[in-house]
Amino acid sequence: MIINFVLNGRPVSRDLLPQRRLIDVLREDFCLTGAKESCGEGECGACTVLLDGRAVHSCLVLAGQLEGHAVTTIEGMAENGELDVIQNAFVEHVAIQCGFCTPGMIMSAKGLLLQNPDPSEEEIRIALSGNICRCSGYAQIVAAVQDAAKRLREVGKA
Amino acid sequence: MDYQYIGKDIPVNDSRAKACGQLLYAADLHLSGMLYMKLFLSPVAHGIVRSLDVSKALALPGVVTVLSYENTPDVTYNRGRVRATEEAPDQETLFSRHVRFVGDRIAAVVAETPELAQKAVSLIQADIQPLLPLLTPDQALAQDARSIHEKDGVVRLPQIGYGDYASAQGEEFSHHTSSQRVSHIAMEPHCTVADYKPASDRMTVWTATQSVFGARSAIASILGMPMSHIRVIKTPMGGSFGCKQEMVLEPLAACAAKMTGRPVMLRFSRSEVMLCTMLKHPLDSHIKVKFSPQRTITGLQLSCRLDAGAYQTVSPDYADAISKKLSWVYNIPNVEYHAVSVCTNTPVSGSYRGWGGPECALIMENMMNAAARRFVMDPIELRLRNILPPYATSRINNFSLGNLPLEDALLLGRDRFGWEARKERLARQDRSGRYLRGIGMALATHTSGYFPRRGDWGTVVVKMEEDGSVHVNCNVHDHGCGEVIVFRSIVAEVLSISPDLVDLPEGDTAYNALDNGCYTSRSIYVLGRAILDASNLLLEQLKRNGSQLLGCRPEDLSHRDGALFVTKQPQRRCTYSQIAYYVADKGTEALFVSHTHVPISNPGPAAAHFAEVEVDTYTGLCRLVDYLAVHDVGKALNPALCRGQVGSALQQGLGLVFCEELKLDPKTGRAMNADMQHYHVARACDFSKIDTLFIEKPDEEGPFGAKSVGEACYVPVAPALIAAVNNALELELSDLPLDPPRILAALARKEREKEAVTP
Repeated sequence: MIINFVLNGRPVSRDLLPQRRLIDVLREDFCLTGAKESCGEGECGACTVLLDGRAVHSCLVLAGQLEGHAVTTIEGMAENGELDVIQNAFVEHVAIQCGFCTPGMIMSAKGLLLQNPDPSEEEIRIALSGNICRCSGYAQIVAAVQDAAKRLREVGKA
Repeated sequence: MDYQYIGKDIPVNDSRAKACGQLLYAADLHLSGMLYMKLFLSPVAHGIVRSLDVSKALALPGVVTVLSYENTPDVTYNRGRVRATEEAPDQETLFSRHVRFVGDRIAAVVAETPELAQKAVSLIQADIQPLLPLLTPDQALAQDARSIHEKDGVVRLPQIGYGDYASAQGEEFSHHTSSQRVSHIAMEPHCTVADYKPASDRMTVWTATQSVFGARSAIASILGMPMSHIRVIKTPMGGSFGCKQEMVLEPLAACAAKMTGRPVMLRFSRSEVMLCTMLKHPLDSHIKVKFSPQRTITGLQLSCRLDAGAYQTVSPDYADAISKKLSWVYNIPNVEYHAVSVCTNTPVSGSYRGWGGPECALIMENMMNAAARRFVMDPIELRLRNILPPYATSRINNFSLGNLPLEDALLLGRDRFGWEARKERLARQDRSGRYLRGIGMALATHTSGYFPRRGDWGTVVVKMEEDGSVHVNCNVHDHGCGEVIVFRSIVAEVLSISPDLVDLPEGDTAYNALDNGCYTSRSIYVLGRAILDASNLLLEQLKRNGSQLLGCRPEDLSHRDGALFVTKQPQRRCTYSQIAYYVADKGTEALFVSHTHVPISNPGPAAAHFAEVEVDTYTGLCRLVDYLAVHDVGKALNPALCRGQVGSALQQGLGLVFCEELKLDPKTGRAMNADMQHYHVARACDFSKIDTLFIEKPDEEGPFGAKSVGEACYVPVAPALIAAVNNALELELSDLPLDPPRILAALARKEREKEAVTP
């Protein structure tokens, strides 16, 4: 069936089997391989994208659910090669190691900051609890999100 | 010493690409005409396939071929072997008629899409004659595991040690520790892409491996191809922790590519990673230690049993490695070590971060903490009476352990953690309440390379381009923890150029000299030193040519920010680029250095970890309150990345102690929780602040004085956490995991014992 949705700010119209997983549609049909598959059942968060501004697991969303909705992937975060504030904070805080969890982690952080521009450390830890990182112990990631939130508040964007 | 780049928190080299989702991991690759491979796995723990019907799978449109034991090489190999000359039991084949665990490989489908491959796998029918499964080492030992393997089903190591335990004097103290099957849970599931061109007989393999040469060796021997026809390229690795060390996927994908003449991707699901790669060994250990009246150790007798799973792979070597680490922390005059590695009809055990080091520390440190409680001594004090001094010689293998500041680690940690104050506070806590807190600590060391074991070296090529930027060629396998940026920083520091101007691609058999790969925490100590020396040789070459250009002697020159200048007349200068063009125009040499470094030492990095834990006595759940890791790293080349390693070690240690276990059905041997919904790891909300303190006493040989950290930091985590739980509950638990059922059962037992005593 033809499905119309918005992908990284652009309207798209594609003939998709409605039962296909969003992660497969993104990776196979749109060559957007930033969303990673690690558990395939919504437990690890590596495939997180935004659906209408809310963080969702793209392995648990089906193509048929996309009609009329807006999907933002990690590839939609940078503008003209300029990294988004959250992406920059992750780089600067050395919150990226193997990087496999990073796209999902950044999208979860984005989802959090869209809902709550001034989260406490505990709120950040809870918001990121659906995203597993095996490399860092999360300290640098939490610090990066705190810093990004601060910077976004300062520029009044959030 | 004031460095430009060393000791600075520089982000991982490809972090911008990672932050944008642009970095391509193996599963992100797409080759024209690529096929997808899916495995058909044994549903029973032990059996013989009487007949295999793949006709329905083959009939499915889009299925290209089906591989099985019927049409693939019947070559036995050991997935852990890096070089053909290594002695190790050969028990495994690509596919097997004799299936030895739930998850053993019987066949595989290669199809145009992953979905088709998956569907075709479900159409394969195998008639399997069941055999009695041996699911525990006890069951297997009763018949020497002969029904699993004709040979080497049980490997008993010859006795290892020195001195004579029997004649050691003192009070004997016995202790028991066991641990469970654990999965590495590297975030990137295993994936290999193999491309074979029949006309030229050339194979290219892209894979996230810890050893491109090991993968090449396995493919060459199984498929009977010349090594020069096989190129293995390491792809960016989304974590390993040992799980991408053995050659599991590479020979399978290469075989499928050779049979189809097309590129083939083999990508494991999370369940397949947990079942079909490797797990941490289930361990059972009994230790006896004799203590003098002054509480110094006079002798140690240790017996270890490892459950190797269905194939021995690296397990005998692993059992051997546990013994090596017995004489690296404490001064023990008499050591007697026995070990047995037993095959069972269970998923395969193999390398896991630390290669025997964490197992050794788990046994030793649990014992030391239990002995301290028995002797009513402070555990730090007991250790201070027994630790080795700096520059002690390891009694096993007879080599120097380097400056090994064990005492510093203990004393600095005691002070920084506020050990005594915490002890006093906890002694006053209300023990009738729901929540009980406790503190614990553990001490450890680890390797920085293979030495004195032979076969450790690092070969590096460093070359300068015409614009003064640098290419480095070295067989690096970054697991994602940042070795590449550290190596680039080393080159940048020597030459005084930005690390961004240094390119350092990773393992590639076509361009690198033979090298083992990333094992035993050797990268920084061995390859880092090789890169440092090669960079210095390039600097010498630059100075020799620069002196010709500037009309001075090489020793008159200094360098800074990509240029040479006469030290006493800084205005007389030339850039590296000018020298590069000068050398090119001269036409008699190239700015190119090839260098091999062979290490002559292997210092132990000392580590002391301290934990405070809170136990909920109603639910049996434990919460980390505070954690301090004191680490002797020689020199923290990139402190942020060193802290990352410590955080990661704690993440895995918390799992090992409190929640992670791959559970098998005791009757069928089927995994009961081989997915992330049922196998739980520590998440952001489970962590508190981690304090890390580095001791930076430079080692003589390591680059800028650095020693290893990546595995060392995992070694003491579990025993420190266990000690904190035991301190909180006034118990002696040492069988992992300390999950809620086990903690509640122990508390109930304690309650019953109390009631029995109190009438």
